[in-house]
Amino acid sequence: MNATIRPGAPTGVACGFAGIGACLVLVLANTGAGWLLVVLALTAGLLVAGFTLAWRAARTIDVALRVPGDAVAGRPVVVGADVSAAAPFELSVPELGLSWTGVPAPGRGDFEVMPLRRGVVRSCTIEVRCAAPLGLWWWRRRSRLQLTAPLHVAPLPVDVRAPWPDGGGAAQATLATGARGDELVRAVRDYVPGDPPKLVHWHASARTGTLVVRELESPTTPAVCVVCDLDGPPGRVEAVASVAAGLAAAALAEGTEVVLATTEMEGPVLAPVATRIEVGRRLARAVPGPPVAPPAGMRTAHAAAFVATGLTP
Amino acid sequence: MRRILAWVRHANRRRETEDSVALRVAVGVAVMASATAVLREGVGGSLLVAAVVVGLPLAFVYSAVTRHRSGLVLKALLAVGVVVAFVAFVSRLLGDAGSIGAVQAPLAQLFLWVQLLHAFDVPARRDLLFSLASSFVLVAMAAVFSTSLGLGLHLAVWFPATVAALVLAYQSRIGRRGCIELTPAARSGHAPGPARRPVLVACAVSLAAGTAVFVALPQVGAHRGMSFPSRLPERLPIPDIGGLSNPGFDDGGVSTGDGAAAGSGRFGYFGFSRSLDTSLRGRPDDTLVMRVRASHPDFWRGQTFDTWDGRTWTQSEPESAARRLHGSSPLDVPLRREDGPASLGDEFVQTFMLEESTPNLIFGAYDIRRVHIPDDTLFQMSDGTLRTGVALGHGAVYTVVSSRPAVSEASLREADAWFASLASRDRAGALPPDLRERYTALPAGFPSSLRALSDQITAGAPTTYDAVLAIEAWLAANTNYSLDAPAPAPGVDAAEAFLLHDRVGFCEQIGTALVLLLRAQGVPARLVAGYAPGERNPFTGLFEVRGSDAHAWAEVYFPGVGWQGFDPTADVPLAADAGSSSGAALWAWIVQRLPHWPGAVWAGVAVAVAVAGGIALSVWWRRRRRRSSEAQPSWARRQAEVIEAFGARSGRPRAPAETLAGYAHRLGVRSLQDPAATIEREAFGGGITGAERRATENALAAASRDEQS
Amino acid sequence: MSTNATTTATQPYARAAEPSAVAYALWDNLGRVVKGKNDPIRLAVVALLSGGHLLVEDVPGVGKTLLAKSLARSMGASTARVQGTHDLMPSELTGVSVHHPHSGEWHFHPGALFANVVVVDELNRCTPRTQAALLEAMEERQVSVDGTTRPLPDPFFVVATQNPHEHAGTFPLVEGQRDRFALVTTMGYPDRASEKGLLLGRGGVPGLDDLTAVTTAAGVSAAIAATSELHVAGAVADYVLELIAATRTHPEVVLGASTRAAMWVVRAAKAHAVLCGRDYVSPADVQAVAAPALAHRLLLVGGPDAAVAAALVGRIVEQVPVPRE
Repeated sequence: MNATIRPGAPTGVACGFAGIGACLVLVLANTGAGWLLVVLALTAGLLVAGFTLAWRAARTIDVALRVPGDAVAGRPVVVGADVSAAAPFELSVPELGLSWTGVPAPGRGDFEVMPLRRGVVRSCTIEVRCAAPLGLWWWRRRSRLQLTAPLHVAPLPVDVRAPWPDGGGAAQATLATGARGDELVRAVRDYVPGDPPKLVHWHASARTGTLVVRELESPTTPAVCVVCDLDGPPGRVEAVASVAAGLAAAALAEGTEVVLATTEMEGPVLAPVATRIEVGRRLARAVPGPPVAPPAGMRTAHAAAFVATGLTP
Repeated sequence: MRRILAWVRHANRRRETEDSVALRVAVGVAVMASATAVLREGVGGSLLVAAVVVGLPLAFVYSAVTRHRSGLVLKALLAVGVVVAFVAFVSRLLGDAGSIGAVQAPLAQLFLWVQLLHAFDVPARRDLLFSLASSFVLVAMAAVFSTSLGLGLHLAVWFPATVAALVLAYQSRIGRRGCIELTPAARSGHAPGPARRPVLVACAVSLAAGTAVFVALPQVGAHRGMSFPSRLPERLPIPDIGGLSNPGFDDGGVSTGDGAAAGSGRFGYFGFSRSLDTSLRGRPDDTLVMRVRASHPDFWRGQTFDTWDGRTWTQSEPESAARRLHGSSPLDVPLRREDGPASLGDEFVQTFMLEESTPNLIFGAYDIRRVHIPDDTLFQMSDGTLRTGVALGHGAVYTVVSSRPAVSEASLREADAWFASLASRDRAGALPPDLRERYTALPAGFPSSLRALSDQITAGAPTTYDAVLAIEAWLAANTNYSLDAPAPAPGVDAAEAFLLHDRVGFCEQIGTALVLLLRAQGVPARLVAGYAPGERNPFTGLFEVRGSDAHAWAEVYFPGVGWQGFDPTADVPLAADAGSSSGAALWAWIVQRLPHWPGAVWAGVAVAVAVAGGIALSVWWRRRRRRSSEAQPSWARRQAEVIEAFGARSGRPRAPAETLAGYAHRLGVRSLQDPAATIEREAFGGGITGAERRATENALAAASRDEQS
Repeated sequence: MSTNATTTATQPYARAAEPSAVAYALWDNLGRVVKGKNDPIRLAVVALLSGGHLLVEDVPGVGKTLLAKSLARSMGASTARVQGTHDLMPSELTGVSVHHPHSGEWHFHPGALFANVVVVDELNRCTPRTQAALLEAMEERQVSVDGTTRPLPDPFFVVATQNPHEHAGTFPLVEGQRDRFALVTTMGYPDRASEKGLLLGRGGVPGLDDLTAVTTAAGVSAAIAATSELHVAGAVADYVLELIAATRTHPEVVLGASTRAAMWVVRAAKAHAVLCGRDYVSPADVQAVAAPALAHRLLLVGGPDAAVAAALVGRIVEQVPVPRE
């Protein structure tokens, strides 16, 4: 941890003692009480010791963190730590949502942090403050940890149960009736009363002598495009990202192919995603920007529209 | 308004309950030490003493036991208690309308009551720290009151307890709920639990720093006079109105006897009386007579003598002629013509705290302008000295405000010329004829040999001041100071015997000699009896005046300047000058208490201490180095331990003769092999970069994760 | 798979300076010809880089000479081969001054030693006198003929071979003489697959004639110089001394390893580190060269036996703890 030590601030106790001490200096000037001089000198010594000893203690602190590759905003994630220190201190990693937390003893182990903001963390600031042993003055150290692999903080998925905008159920219904013309014939089977006459395979019926009907299958699984168009105030942006994550997760759970349309730093990205982790990583990288147009004819879900229409719980 | 309310609510929100018993004990000890320190200074009655001594520990135990309860009823009761204590405080103030000094004791009582009540409700760490801060205030109060070394005992308990409380509070803060608890490294440098070591270190360092600060700070007196303590434990009128009583020297004010012995009083001084017989021998002992709080040392004058009969000094003025000063404290002392021009200058506040019965003289530096004493009558003699109408015994406190402008050698030298330049009409104003007559008078049988000696010594002295210096120099060169000076034979002129024959004497003889030799030159002079400044106690900051500090010296009148004291006994400047550092005072105080061994013994002690210190230091240093090398495994070692732990978990521990890379290879885990090579390069090669370190650490962490999943 | 192998192969000396490249190229080149003899090849390169000489002890017909020749050819350096016989004269090694009657001058005809790589086969068949001349030249890196001192070429590397199991008509080297060799190795029989390949003919295996030089004599000289400069940590030096001390106190050893032995262990370990692409000596390097560098310098209770000595050093290496990281 190659970080310089900066003097932080006095703690409340030190302020209290110093304040009382300052008042006592006035009393001392007035009364000339010699013992007061002794008491004040002791207090000054206490403050000096609190200042210098804390500096010494802060110097010994070394923190190494092992950060995983994926996380979800608002969900705890386990981080490994290797800490050497000669005194208890407090640790803060703002990027990982860890505000000042005590570390009573050195050692090695895991602890939970909760990243609060969606995004890609490539490096994080490790802040350390120590006032050991007297707790009178905080000395601070700050170092920057370059992560070997970036941490993708995915948005917390919103549980989306609303129908697809263009009516997923309706699409299934039309498929079953064979309204579209681009289906493939998978097989033929014996006619069951009620089958639409359109499906009767006349050639085969003529050859076999019994009435057979075609069984149809759509050419491919109908993919859905989730458009994550981040725009607007920060709160809305995160809501849209969360909805997009929920939409993609719901679609993946159905077994549907999902194409995610986002904008990244380098520009718009339109690419299929196969797993929830992949969804999370894509959404972690997403930044506000003009969304890419979904492919024509593909069922499309605009996350922003969900947020605007209040379809989310 | 709403924001203020919100802030108040936020500040008073319910906090996490403090469960550390050690912290509670430390705070309790600190509070007890400070509260008893205040009680020790005589604040409060027996009710308060009992409440504090019994109630405070009970309160701490009670609040520790009930810390998890909300205790609304208790809070209400405590609030009522605080209000009652405050009302009592205000009523006492109103009933005893006095100076600021009168506020101190009721304030301390109020503080003690509040402290006691607060101790019942200290559930959180913040409350405990509040208690700690208020114990600091209590200690400070005790420090203001204290005039003895007894407070040191309380400080010796309070300070370590405060340090321990601070250390424990910090540890409790760090270790509160939700802290990051890690598995201690196998060979971790320190055990986290016990706070003994940090407490000891913090105590030692802060004590050292505090001592350094104390040594560097200047001694302070009361620079601004705002508190003028005065107290009379009892009011016993002096039977002889305006007369002099010297209870320490039990001859009742009239000293007789021909050099037989000093009086039977151990510490009393025969000089505080109607007459001073220079043929008397024997000195008061070292009994502590009084403590004086003053910003700088001075001679504490008691009375003067104007008439010399060859053996004895007496006061020509009858006691009935004393001027009666009547009024309420503070009593202003009227200006006298002779002191008029001299009495305007900076105020100098001195508080005299009597430990033993003293004569009913008001001591003080020249020249007293105001006296704070809880009595309505003082008697002023024509020489300006003051007497009380009541006896002054143990516990009596009075404060004197003196003032005089700065006197320099130049101003004293110019006095003669200035006087000579005056018109004869004005000379009577500058040097009243009655004053001149009274203070230059010599007995009829004044030996001519002394006149001759005086002429001889002062010949060639251009001014009166130089004449004084010449006589002082002659006395320093030709007489010896000894408390065992021979008593003059009966009927012999004591001054002649001292100056021409024995030449051995002490302050009375030497002071008398200066006065007489100056009077022989027609210079107005008188003998003064009083106390030397005494020794300044570095802790209390008070001048401790002992019986043996009783002293007699000369005062010489300079026209336009006033009376100026000269102490021919001490031709060295007075010790403990104003503004000297506490360190110097402390050193002087320590040296005074060291046994009086010869220099060689001290040199031996110094060498032994130095050798022992050196040995201790080297042992400490070596141990520290060994420990640090043991306690701080290198980075490479720590990372190697990760790999070893990895292998040990899979049942294949590393053999002692196995290289790390070979071991990683044997384990067959691909992701361990590169880190192992990097670790070896760090250990045996030219070192690695920080990025490589991070990469290695991350790779090892990843390997451990993969293993678990 | 092949790309993977390439990356791991280039990894070790990607960071290393030239000596590693030289060593690796030599090792790689030898491996093309001398099949199934990884350890002797490695030790040959190590001995060369450490600036010492190599003694190969084994039965005939296992490729001792092939190894030596391949090494010489890979360096593109001059090579000479001497067959040790009891009538081999020292002057045949060092050279002689011959009088030319026409010009009336003496001309020096250099002996076999005036080559970069000298292969001395059947060293123990030479007379002690010839052996002494050879060993002196190896130590001094110069020969004195007729009062003139002539330096031998740089680098100068002797690979001697001998069959320790032959006794008739041989003059075994005494301990002091064996000490002149940096490393002693055995060839060992090739593995079955390699042997089968040999029996079946060339079969894609390049012969000695197909071998091309991968470096130059000057390149080897520079590599030797660079190797000697390699960093040795104090802990590693301590480890070497621990090993040496262990040989001295071992009950089966009459005379333990000398300080010179320790020096050669360090030199050989440096060369080994270079070959592994490291710029420092790791304890593993010391372990790898301990047996070849120490075994022949020990005087055992049971008399000289290379295999026993090597096993003994191996046991010591397994017992002495390596320095902690």
